[in-house]
Amino acid sequence: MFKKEFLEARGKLIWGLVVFCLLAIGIPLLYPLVVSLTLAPVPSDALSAPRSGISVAMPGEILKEIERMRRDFDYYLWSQWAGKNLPQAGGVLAIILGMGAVANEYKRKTALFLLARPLSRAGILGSKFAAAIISLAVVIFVSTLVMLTAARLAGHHFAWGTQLASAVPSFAGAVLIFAATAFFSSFSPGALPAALGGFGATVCSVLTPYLFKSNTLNILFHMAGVRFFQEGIFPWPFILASFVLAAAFYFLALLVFSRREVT
Amino acid sequence: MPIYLERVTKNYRSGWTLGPLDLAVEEGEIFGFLGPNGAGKTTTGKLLTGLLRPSSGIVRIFGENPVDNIAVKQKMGYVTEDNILYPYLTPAQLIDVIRPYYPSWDDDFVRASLERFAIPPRQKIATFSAGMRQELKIILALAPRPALLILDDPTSRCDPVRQQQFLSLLLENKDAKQTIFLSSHRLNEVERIADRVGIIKDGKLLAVKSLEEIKTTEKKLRVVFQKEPPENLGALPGVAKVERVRDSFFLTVNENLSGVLEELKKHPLFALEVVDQNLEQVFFEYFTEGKKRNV
Repeated sequence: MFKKEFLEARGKLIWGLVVFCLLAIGIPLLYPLVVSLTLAPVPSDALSAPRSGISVAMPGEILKEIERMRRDFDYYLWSQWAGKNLPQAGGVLAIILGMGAVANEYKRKTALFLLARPLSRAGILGSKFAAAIISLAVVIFVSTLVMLTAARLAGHHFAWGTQLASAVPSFAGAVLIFAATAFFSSFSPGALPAALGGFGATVCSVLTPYLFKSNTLNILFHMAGVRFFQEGIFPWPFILASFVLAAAFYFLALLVFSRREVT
Repeated sequence: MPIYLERVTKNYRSGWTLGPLDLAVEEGEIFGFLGPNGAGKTTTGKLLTGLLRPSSGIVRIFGENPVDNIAVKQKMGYVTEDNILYPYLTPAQLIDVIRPYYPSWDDDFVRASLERFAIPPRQKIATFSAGMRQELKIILALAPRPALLILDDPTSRCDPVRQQQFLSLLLENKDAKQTIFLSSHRLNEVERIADRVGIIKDGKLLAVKSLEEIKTTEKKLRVVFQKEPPENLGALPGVAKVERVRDSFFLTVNENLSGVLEELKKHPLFALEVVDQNLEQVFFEYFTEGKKRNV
């Protein structure tokens, strides 16, 4: 069953790898451009004309941020990859992998083929989870390695271990988003409603700081691994909580899938 | 017993209900299941394979509930008319996926059958015609040498040549113990291979009879009376239907043939002949409006 799931996820895996690697390679290649931004002359009328000019696009805090990137390449890599692109793109890939997990089997009527065979539903769902989690791991860690290799080839020096470890929270968060989307897929009539469910759940989590004045429930904040990079505290609680919640979503999805008939 | 249904019903939200169905199919039997579209044939097939749970009643396959029952499904092959194969896989990949779950999988049979039906094992299923996909499904269902085959309109997408090949394949590979539940629109196919048939309409099982019984009891009589026909012609015991074509009266008789003949002979007749009915004629008798049939 795992082989079938892997063959099914193969297209998404290849496209995911291509897109993630292109994003990853772009980061070290764009570094000279980012650095040059701080050296660009600020137009004298920029402050008096707020709708145009570099001062609007880059107020003081952002200029400080760019200055930090210019001085600290490690910070630049983290802020552009593990701190931003990886959680966002990883979340999208997780939703794409989860949305059709069960729903597509019913929509394409292949559930008739699967469930008339001597296969356990736990095994079917487990194979889907395993194939998706491995795909997420491959895409996230291979593209991170590609980025680091490209940066090294461009002549930069950085902490390989820290950069690789920074991708772990993104992976854990992506697994959780996948599992939540797969849960929606277990009772959804098609992939799109399941994708909306997974996306909606992620957006709700991201909006919690506006309600509770805290990032505790903000999954993208944890996936970025801010405290790990800035304070060196590895986010074990978030990673463990993500895997436990993903397992809970697996059992919930299995409960729904077990009761779902093939009409 | 391979198939046992007791007071089985299946209710849908639309209000349509299957059953209650009572049916038992013996080991080694080929049971034909006939009915028009929407009669409940596919729903019955899905109840037998455990893809649906009954709303009430008991479904037993080899004495066990088939829902999520791996041991039962190892002994069962299922073919449906729906397009249920993964288009992005090749037959070889699909076989690799399911073969490990069947202890009695017959690789030689698969190889020979793929060759016989000219199915390329390493070509994506997406490129196959509907007939080729159907043949592949049939091969995959027969490959584990199942003790029970549930076939839901298996040749609906096949041309007559492929249909013949399919029936040959089915009969060649059937051993004395294998039971086949064949649901079909193709009456000639059922008539050729079935031992017994069940006729279903609007979710209700109208009749279960052996083909032999149909041939001996389901008759049509053509009568030409010398005078006016008796008024109670349609009420004679065993007469299911009376039709008049010019001077001839056609009586559909499903039981008590000798009694009906004796009764008719009491009247002056120009002609009285017994016309044998085939399955197709019997089937249409059940589905044309007329008198209620005895079940």
